[in-house]
Amino acid sequence: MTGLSIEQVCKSFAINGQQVPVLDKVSLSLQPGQFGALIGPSGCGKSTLLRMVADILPPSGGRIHIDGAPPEQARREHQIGFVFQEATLLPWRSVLENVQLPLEMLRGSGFKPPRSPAELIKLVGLGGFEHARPAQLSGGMQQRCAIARALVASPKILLLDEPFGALDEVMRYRMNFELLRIRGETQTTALMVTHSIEEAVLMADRIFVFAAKPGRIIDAIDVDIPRPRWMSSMDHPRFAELVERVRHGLFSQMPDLTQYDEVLHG
Amino acid sequence: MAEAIPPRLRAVLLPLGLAAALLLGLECLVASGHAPMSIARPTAVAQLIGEEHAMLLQQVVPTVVVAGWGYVLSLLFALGLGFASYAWRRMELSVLTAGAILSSIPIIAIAPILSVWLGLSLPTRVLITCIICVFPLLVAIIQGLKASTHSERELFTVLAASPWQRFRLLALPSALPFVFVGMKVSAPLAVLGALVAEWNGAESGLGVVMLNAMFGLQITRLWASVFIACLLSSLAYAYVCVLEKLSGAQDRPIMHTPT
Repeated sequence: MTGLSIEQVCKSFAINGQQVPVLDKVSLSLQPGQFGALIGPSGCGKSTLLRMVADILPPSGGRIHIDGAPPEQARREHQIGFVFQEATLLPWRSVLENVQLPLEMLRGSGFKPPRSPAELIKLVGLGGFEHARPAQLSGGMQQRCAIARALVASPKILLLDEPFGALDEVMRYRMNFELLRIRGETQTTALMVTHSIEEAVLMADRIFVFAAKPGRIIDAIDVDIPRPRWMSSMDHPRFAELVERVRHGLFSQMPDLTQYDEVLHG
Repeated sequence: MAEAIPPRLRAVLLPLGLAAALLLGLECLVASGHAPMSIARPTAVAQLIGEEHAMLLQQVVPTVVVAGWGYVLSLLFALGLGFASYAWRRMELSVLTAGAILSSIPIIAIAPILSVWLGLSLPTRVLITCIICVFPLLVAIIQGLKASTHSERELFTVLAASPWQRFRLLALPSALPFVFVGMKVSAPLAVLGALVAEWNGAESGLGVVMLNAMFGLQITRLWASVFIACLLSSLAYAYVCVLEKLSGAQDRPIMHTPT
């Protein structure tokens, strides 16, 4: 059984009465516990794909399976954790109450979280802030809280939509290492949309490079940098090579820029 | 010098000082004999309130009763219609249109008609108050129940929340600050509604005192009743502000535009 399988998934939106294709026959798969990264230009449908996996949007065609189950079943069984670009914490709830929110939906089902909300808050490094309001936290701390909330119902898959996109470079690296550490302990299958090439190479087991109009996968890369990964992993000789391969994949879609380089440098 | 006064105290002292200066100016103007007949001397108004406070208090009670009932009933009615419009989105436009039309009818014009239909009873006065109070509440509640952000709604979808959980845990808490805005706008309107209803015919009440003073050319008494009406409106507003503070809703500024 695979952790996540996406087969021939298409999506088109109706804009001004016309069907505009957004994703064209996208296929990918992740083993249980693997970390996948989606990278590509804006508007290539990465976030749309993530929302179809989460059963927020229906696909126009193709099949998606999470641990063998269709997304709707996985969602109804509370098997999906989602982290948005904005932390999306409820401002009237404390950190603890925000992390507890998914468990309130599970009340009466007899579900016992393997890690209590308080434990998870400590795991994401927010110990001591249980009773703080989101407005009192920095952007990075809010996103840690959102990650704890996504993990509290111990989902089969963790979906991350540019979770650190709004943070500055230094804070983003910090959060990357935090997420590596947290995932080292939870081993959840994960799929992350990102704009950062380094972030994709550092975090992922598999990177899927997208092209736009319509969105499709042009390169699937297995990242063979050993785990556990940490800061020194970025000095690994494969790191630079993989960054270059992703970069070339992304730039190959911008022939105008590539031509200018040829004019300048022969 | 001004920096020595703490800002909280300054926020109180400034408007109080302004009011005092205005009253002093009026007092001097009337004393100098250059003021028109229709302006009462502030000290005379204060003296009248002091002397007739038992009677005035007695007359204020029915006005407060009408305003209070009108306010509470409009709030319940607006909440009911707001919740219904949340559950059945198709209702929303009809409810808001009906509310807008109702609130665009001049209350002064419709009050006598209502009195002819329903008689000069307490329920008629409460109904007139409701008509003037309900629209700001309705707009605020309907807007508030839609105030959650797009990603908050997506979050509740991923969490497989039931419609009831979505309402109770997301829509209702997001609506609370908006509801208080509506309640603050409506609180002084309830006092106005009660006065209009009493002008239209009642045995007792502040509106009756006002009307009798006007027709009897008792300028000082008229100004005293106006002052008390202002005081009632301000107290109603302050009361809602205290409720808001107790609810904790003022911790969450209205920061999202509904999407």
